[in-house]
Amino acid sequence: MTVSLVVSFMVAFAMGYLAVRAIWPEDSRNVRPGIIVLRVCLSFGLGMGLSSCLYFFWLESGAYRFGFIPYIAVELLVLFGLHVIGAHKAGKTQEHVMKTAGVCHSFRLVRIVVFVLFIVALVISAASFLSLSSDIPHGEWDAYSIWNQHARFMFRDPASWKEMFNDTLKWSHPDYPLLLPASVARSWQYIGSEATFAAQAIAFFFVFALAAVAISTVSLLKGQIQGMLCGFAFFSSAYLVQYAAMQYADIPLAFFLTASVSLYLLYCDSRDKVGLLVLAGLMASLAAWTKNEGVIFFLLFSMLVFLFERNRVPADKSRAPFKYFLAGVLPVVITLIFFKTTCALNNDVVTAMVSDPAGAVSRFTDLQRHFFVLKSLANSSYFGGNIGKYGLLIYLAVVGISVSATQRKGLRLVLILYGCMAAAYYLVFITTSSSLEWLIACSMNRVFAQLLPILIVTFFIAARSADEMLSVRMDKGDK
Amino acid sequence: MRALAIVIFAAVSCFSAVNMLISVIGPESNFTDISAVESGYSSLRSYLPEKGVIGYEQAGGKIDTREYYIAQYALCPLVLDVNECHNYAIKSDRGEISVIKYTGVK
Repeated sequence: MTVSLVVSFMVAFAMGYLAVRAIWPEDSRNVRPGIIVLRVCLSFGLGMGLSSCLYFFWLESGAYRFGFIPYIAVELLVLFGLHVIGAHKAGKTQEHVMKTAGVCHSFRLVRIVVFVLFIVALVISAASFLSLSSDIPHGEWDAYSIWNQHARFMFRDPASWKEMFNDTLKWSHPDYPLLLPASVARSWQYIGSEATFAAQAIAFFFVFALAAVAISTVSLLKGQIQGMLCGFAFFSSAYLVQYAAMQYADIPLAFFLTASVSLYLLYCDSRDKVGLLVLAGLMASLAAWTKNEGVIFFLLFSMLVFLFERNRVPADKSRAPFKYFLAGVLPVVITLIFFKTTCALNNDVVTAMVSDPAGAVSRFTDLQRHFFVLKSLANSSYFGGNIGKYGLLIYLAVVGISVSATQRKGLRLVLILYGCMAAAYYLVFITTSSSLEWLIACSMNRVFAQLLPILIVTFFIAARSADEMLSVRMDKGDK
Repeated sequence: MRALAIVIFAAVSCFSAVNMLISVIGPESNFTDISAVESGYSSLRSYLPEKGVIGYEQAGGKIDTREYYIAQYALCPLVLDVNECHNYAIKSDRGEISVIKYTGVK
């Protein structure tokens, strides 16, 4: 059983790895831990995303009637195709060596202390996840009422998997996209039974891949110690580990949001390495294939990338960066449109707004609702751990802000994107026809869990690099 | 000063991670043991149709949402309807579950 699960993950991972290699070819001159970790984590997320799309089409086309072996054959065929494309591109590509912050080999004691604490925090977070997850092998509320329930419909009876769209089950949000349920159901197909550890393992990989993407991005742009500090922010935030153990889709969504933003930041710093932009588009589209909030992110991110890139003249003057972005989003967007138009026709939030626009307007103009939402926002600790929001501000005041011109451009897009996402969520809170108290109580923290990782990455790229500070101290000491 | 800020940041974060671990391994837990509930439903499975829509009722008429959601999760791909009468229904009475077969339902 365990071997089958490992095989299912390895096939998905290989698919993701070969796709990443085909889009962002490897460069033997640019092999560093940060890039290797980033590639591995992106491969995992991309593999889960692509294999879930294939699994959806396997069900939707009725190909399940021929058994699971032909499906495995299709996955192997996709692997072979990606390998051929990747090998073809690898021979042609000569990449720029990605710039990174200088690494200071001195100030050993601080480096060692930070590294040891980093390992301790990582191990403790993993232990927290395993402990909580073993208490709730089926996950919590959303997991058994939405994600794993949909996975069961897909796995238990492929012929009638569309029963999950039955009107009676509107409360289980059948319009939610299928990345997570299809990934879990696909793993069960490989294993041959509904092993709860398949969903637990997917949750584990997503939350630690999320942290690793953020850490490696910050390491590449601001240095290794800064990357580890970013990791501390993740491991001290209880929400992320808790929601992952509860098997909520907010964590896979946070992974794809963070990966898109990180790839765009790296793209801005890489002198027009368009492969990174294609991957950013692909990750954004997978966010839309994970949760409906991801659709909002995808639309806003695409619009902003278009606005930021339309007047940019790349180094070779022949490439139009936004076209590459679009090329990345196409496969998953086609899948999503197909799903939304053939299976999941209605969304409760949109339906409520369309059916009662006057009610939505009257709720929007109710100042008490604004006051209540703002007060709830202010009371929520968006950072989770003992550092808290004030600790972050004090840290920033002590170390200061330091960003390069290329980083500034990327950060500008990310901050606008973050503001737009927050505004969109705020609008949903204000205009919802559901009970506002109930909605805030059950979704405010999860919204933070989705957006917090982007904020952490942005914070540590904006803050003055710890590596840089320690270098300055070393120079002064030398004199 | 800045090196100290870095070390303090790392140490406080580590402390937060320890706090999180202590909170999750604590003895108090209000999670539902879904595996135990599921085993109750699996014993009823042979009395129910393989697929389709059946009813779901709870003693006293008021539906406990969590119990209903877990029942639906356990009995997929059957669809449990709390609003209309069907040939078969699951009845839950303070944790005791049974199957009711109605006759004459269209």
